[in-house]
Amino acid sequence: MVRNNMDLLIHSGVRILEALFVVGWAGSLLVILLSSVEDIRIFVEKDEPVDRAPQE
Amino acid sequence: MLTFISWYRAAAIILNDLGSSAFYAGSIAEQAFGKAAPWFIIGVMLFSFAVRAVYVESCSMFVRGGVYRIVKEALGGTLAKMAVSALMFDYILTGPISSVSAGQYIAGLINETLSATYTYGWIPQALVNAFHGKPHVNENAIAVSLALAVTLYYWWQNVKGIEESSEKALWVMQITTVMVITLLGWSFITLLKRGFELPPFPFPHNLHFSDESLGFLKHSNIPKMFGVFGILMAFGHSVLAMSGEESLAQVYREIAHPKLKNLKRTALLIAIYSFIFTGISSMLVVMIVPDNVRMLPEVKDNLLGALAMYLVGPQFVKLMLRAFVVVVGFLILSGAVNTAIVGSNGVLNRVSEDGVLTDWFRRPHRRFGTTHRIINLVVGLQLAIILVSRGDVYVLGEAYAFGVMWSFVFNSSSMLVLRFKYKGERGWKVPPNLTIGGVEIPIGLASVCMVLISTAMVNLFTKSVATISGLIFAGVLFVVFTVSEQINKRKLARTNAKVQEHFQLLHEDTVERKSIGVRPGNILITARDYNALNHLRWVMERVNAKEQDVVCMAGRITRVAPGGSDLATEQIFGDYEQTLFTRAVAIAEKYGKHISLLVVPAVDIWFAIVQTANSLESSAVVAGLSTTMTAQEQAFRMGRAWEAAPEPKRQFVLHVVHPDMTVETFRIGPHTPTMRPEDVQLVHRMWLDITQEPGLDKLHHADIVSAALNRFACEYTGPEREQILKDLQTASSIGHPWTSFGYAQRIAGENPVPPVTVAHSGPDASDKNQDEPRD
Repeated sequence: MVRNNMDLLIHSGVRILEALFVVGWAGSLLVILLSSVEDIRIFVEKDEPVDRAPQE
Repeated sequence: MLTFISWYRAAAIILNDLGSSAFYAGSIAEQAFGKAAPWFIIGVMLFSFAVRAVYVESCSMFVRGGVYRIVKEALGGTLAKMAVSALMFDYILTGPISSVSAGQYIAGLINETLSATYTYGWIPQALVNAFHGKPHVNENAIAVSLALAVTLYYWWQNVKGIEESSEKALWVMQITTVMVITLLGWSFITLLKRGFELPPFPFPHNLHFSDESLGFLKHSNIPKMFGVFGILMAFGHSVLAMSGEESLAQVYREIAHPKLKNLKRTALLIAIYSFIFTGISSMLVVMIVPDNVRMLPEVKDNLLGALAMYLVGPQFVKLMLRAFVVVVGFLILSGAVNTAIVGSNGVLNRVSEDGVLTDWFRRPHRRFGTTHRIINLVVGLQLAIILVSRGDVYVLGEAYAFGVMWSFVFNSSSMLVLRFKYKGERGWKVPPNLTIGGVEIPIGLASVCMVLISTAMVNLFTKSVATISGLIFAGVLFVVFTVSEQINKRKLARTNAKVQEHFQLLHEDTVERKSIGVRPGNILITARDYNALNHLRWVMERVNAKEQDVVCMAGRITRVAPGGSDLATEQIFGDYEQTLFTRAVAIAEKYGKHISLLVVPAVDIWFAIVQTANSLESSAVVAGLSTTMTAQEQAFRMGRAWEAAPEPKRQFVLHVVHPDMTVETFRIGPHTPTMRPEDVQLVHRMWLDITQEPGLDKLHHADIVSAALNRFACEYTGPEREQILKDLQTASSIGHPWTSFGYAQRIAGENPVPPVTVAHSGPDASDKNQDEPRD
């Protein structure tokens, strides 16, 4: 009985970790896609020149 | 660390740490679970794109930088101390793994060279006899010796207080890029000529875990039961490849305007670069270096060197390429050793500032003014780890993963909690976010967090070395932090009592002249090291205290933006500040003059000084000579901070007092430029010529300069800008014999303007000639 409960606990724990990993990866791919598109745009964008007269 | 660097320089600093894992991560992963390792390294590098997004969000928030403050805000003090312990484990192990790996590459090159020269019969017979055959060196012994030497070298540099140079990091990354392009290009040519086979795909049946890599699960059937679980375990063994990404938070403070935009550029560049370097190179190693060679004891720890030897081409040229790979490896890996010491020092300093470590750790070095006790502690631990590891990169890598993984977990989970706890404005949020019924659900952030937590949990069971060593280290550090915090709290209670006895402590959100009770035109003295207060003596000798007030200011560097509300008294006025002020008051009392004392929390010390000088309407700022920069550099930085300060602002004079009491003086803010005699001649000749023209006889020299400047300003904003910049570069490269440093101008003379002359009246001779008290 104790052995069975332990097995069940380990089994459930492993399943939860697997589920977290798979779902997390799916979401992370979205993060990578969305953030990279935005970052690439920023990467190539030119900064506005500083509006200040040159001084020594 | 550094002040206002461009995004690509920031990327170079991070890549010195992040890129260095390319030299050992692939090998460690393959030793753990076999030939499918490169796919997982590529997977980790892809995932690092998502982790970078979390760091960008954490940096964009008001509470930026320091892990301790972020985790404390989100999860409380106990978990914050655990997070710092994990981060320290990460930083401390970065040094040994990098230096030992560098040693392994050097030893591999020595053995390869000895082998080649032996084949050609160039080795003296006596040496062959001594080695009973082909001469060789013991890789682990060489690796340990070299690691100790490199660590000791950087220990001394840090004790002396060298500033981390972005220039040097950029230079290392430029050479590394040449090496990466050569190695990858040559590898692709080799594959085209020889044909290729991809490593086995990352399917559960292709994963062959060694007994060591199963850790505590060695005797269970869990790894065989679940397919995805095996993938999760393999991912956990590869996660080391993205170690170094946490340095993003370290460099954010130093990135130039526009900060967030530049941080994103930095983050994207490092992610792409490390994906290509670490990910692709580990793939090429498995495809090119034969299976029976890769895991040989003398090859497994220098796989990139071995890759060079298995490319197409003449042996000698390949040996030269290997030498190049080793030199680059040595440079980048030693850079990581320095990053580890600087990072650990930074983290422990901030923890100390937050009242978790006692001020004993922050006591400055007598000569160099650095926090040598923290540096000694960190380097001492690193040396011990190098000796205990006996040059085994795999063991070090296994342990290292613990710190890397858990510092990512703490950071991302804190950010997730802060999404609900801290509703304030953020510069940027990890996408995507879904709003349902007015509640925002951070899908992206939660996803990254889920992957990190599941991997960290699995690592706890599969990486027995990491779990045991990491828990022991983090546990000891946690106890030290907890005990130290208790001591600090007791000390604080005593300090508060003493402070009330000795100092009238007023806590204000902003610095105001009236609340300090000083008159306009006062002198502001900056104080940092209580062993170096000569500049205070210099002022006390000269100032007429009846006419001019003196304020002694101590800047307390904190990662939290000053605003007062989230800084507790112990974070601003600690034991250290009390000692500093006690000494300052003792000096002032010996001269019988009054000084006001002020502690200012600051993210940027130069900006804090300028702001304080402005608020107090000071006419002069007096500083001691820095141990790490010249007086000119100090003036330049002060001038730059002045430029960045908001209006209204007033000019002041900066006196930098050398230890021998000689003084260099600079004007801060707009000033009349020093003109070369030939320029004065040119203006005069033009004036002579122009005044001959009808109606221009009343023209002044200044009118010509003014008209020329206006025309110049117009042209500068037009199409001729580039040419003007080129001309100015040529002019500046010639060198200036005069004494201007752009933002600041030096006033000639050894001791030209005593502070009192700047404000109200000249120095009182009788005051100066009074009996000079001894300290």
